[in-house]
Amino acid sequence: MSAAFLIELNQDVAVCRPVATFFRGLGETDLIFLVTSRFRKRDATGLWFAEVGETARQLGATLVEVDTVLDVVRALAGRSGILVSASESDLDAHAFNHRVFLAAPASFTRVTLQHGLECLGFNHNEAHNRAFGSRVGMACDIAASWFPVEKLHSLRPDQRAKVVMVGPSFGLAHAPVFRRPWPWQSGTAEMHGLICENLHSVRFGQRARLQFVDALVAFAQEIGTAGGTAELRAHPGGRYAEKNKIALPPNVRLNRAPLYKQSLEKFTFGISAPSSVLLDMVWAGIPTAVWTNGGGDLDIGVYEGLAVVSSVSDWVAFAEAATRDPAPFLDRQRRYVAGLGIPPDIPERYRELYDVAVRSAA
Amino acid sequence: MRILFLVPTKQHKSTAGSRIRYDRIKAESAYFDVVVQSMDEVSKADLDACEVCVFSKTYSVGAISLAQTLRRQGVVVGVDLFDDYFSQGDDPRLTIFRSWLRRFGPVFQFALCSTPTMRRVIADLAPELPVHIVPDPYAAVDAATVAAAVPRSLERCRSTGVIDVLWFGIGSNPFFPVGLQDLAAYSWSLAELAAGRYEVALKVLTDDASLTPANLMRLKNLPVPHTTETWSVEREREALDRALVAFIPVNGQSFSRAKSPNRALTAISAGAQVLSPGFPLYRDLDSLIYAGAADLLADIERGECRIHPNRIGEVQRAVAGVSDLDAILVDLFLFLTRRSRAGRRADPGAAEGHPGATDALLFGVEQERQMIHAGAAASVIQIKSPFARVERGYDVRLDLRNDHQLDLWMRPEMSRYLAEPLRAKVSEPRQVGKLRMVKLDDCAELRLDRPLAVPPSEGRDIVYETAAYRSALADLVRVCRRAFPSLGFRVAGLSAYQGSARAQEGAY
Repeated sequence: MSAAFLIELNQDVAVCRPVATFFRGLGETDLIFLVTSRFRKRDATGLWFAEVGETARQLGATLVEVDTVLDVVRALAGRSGILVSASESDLDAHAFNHRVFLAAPASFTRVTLQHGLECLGFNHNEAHNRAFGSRVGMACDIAASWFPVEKLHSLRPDQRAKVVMVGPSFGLAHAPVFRRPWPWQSGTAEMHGLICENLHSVRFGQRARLQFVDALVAFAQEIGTAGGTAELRAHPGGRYAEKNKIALPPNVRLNRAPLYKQSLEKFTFGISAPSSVLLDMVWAGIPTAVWTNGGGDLDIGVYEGLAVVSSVSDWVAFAEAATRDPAPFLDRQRRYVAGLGIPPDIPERYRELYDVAVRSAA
Repeated sequence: MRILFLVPTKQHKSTAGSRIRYDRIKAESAYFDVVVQSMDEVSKADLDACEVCVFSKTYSVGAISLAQTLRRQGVVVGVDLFDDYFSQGDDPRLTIFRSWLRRFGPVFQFALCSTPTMRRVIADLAPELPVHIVPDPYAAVDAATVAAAVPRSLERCRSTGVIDVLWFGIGSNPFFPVGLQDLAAYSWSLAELAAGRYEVALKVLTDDASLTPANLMRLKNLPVPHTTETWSVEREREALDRALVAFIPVNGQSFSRAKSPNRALTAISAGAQVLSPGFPLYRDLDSLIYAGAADLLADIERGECRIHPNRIGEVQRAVAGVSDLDAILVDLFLFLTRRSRAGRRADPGAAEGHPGATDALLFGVEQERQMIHAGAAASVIQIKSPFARVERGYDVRLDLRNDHQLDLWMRPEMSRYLAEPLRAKVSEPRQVGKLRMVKLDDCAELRLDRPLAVPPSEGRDIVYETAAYRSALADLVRVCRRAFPSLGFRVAGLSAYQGSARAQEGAY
């Protein structure tokens, strides 16, 4: 049996990596990373390709560079098993993976992973619907979701039968953290936050982008007077702040390394515009707030329940409170995660997914 | 007799059509001295040396300028039309082929084709053109090949229980559903073959370009296990040697009905059984092929198939009836000899090497890339209009100075074609890039009667799609004619556009 992973977008790496690692642990020995030429091009810094390479070495996986659908079909010819993509739908942006799924040998079970809280084909926000419509289909045999089917409010009716709930793949590494270890209990930690941006997303208008950047700069100056610091992390697919050469205050530095390689405990708070990285931070036990521009034109539906900040004074008040005592925020986050419907037994579910996929491929 | 077969690009030299038709005539014949050359590689020596020039797959205006020029030099020019892109009268995508043949057919002195069906198609569009059928030439079936291959593959099939089936060839066509689509559409026949006590192992040999996602999806859904490999001459030979059955389904559309039996003959010559469901394209080989799986299965069971050493006499007779290499060559030689005599009678000036009018080709947004080379070899004068986007070694170039005024640059030797009053106005030669050019500035003769209907600065698609482009070109041709009254003008790339009345004025 083989398990092949299509790597087309930068963010695919972080989503597929824990799944590949987990499958390896189940005894899968023929792991294949199919890295597309468009991925190589998008990955301007080479960081994510290096990550794929490192993961492949660790797992003893084969790394195959592909350019066309035919290349993928050739790579899979004569094998059978499970073919995984973290970004597959019938939209143009996912066209390559979609075509690969359509043409993949019948001996492979095709699995599309939900890759975010808001994810095309599974759960759209309003901007998604405006930009891409609400009828997005997938070519997979199994749509592996984070939530139970009744919470996937953008699922096209004919896709319902494909859905198998497995939970987010980062949940394979550890259970969510709702109680912080000792540095916070003593209340002496230095204020150090993680600010995330995904300003490239269709969700933001130009106005909202400028508001976020302005708030970030003013906030940094404010906390800087008391010695507070922060790191700014860009969405791996967008890197808006870097590409637009936004000047950062001296107490804010860029954070580019993959999240799974960092110790997230060092952050006493986290703020992000609506984005799935909020759930990464919640999962890691960072007191987390979602930013909205206050004008009501940003849809934060799925983040309802987290702390919300918009004006600079909100940012400061939240950062100070979370640094002083994270416990109330973590309690709130426990309720938030429970409300999402994410299953508690994630590894169990991925094992079942693997078993089912492999059995039907055989 | 020296024949030049002229194909568009050097890639065309290795296509099946070229390999099977021209290379075999070349290899087998004492009558002919055959040269196969492409428009992007042909030399002046090639053109000067030939007595007959056959244009193959060159559906461009540039090729017509070339043909006209050669004809004027006394070469007998013909066209080989072996694919039916012409009879689909209601298909607008193929207008370019139909209007090319209808309009430029008379430039040629004869046409060759490979089947009677195709002859009827040509007669519809170019009724005056003498057509000669040259069946794809095949050598006699080699008894030793059949004696070795057939018992071996039959024996392997009976001992392993697996029927090795091969599908081979170009997998797609830009206009017609053929190739892999036929394979998928007729795959029920393979399912029938696998329904008995044998399994079927299908091998697909085809070009990578045809393995598009859509075709890969079709292959994925085949009812029998299969492998695909990239086609090459060598692989085809090996695979046919190994396969018990060549699967050659044929559909009934006009394009497929006009095909020659070359695929079936290739398979039979290699000692493979032919299973061909669908349109009975191979009815002349009826006794050698299988239309359905049932007969084939029964014969495999019996241990004696239609292509078998015991029946070698019948096989050889049937193949010779379809394609007798010697007869084909003799017929072609006689036909060309007659054409060549008739040609000389019809063009008395040409026989004496009289120069006559000279051809010029005006380039717009369409490139006709191969003409860079071929045009120079044949001394067709190449003119760059303001619409042409690609820089290359033109003989003459027209630049737009303002709305109405054109500037003209040319090689100094072009002066002799210039209208008398203009000759005095030519500037001293100047170095322009790698070329020495002279210039005509500000001449009344180079004024447009009205501004170009679509400015050359517009995007390529806009220029190309608007009817105004045709009338702008007509205006440019008018200026060219004033400047070079002795030249005959054509516009590269415009064969398909008879629709616009203004652009139709004049001889192109």
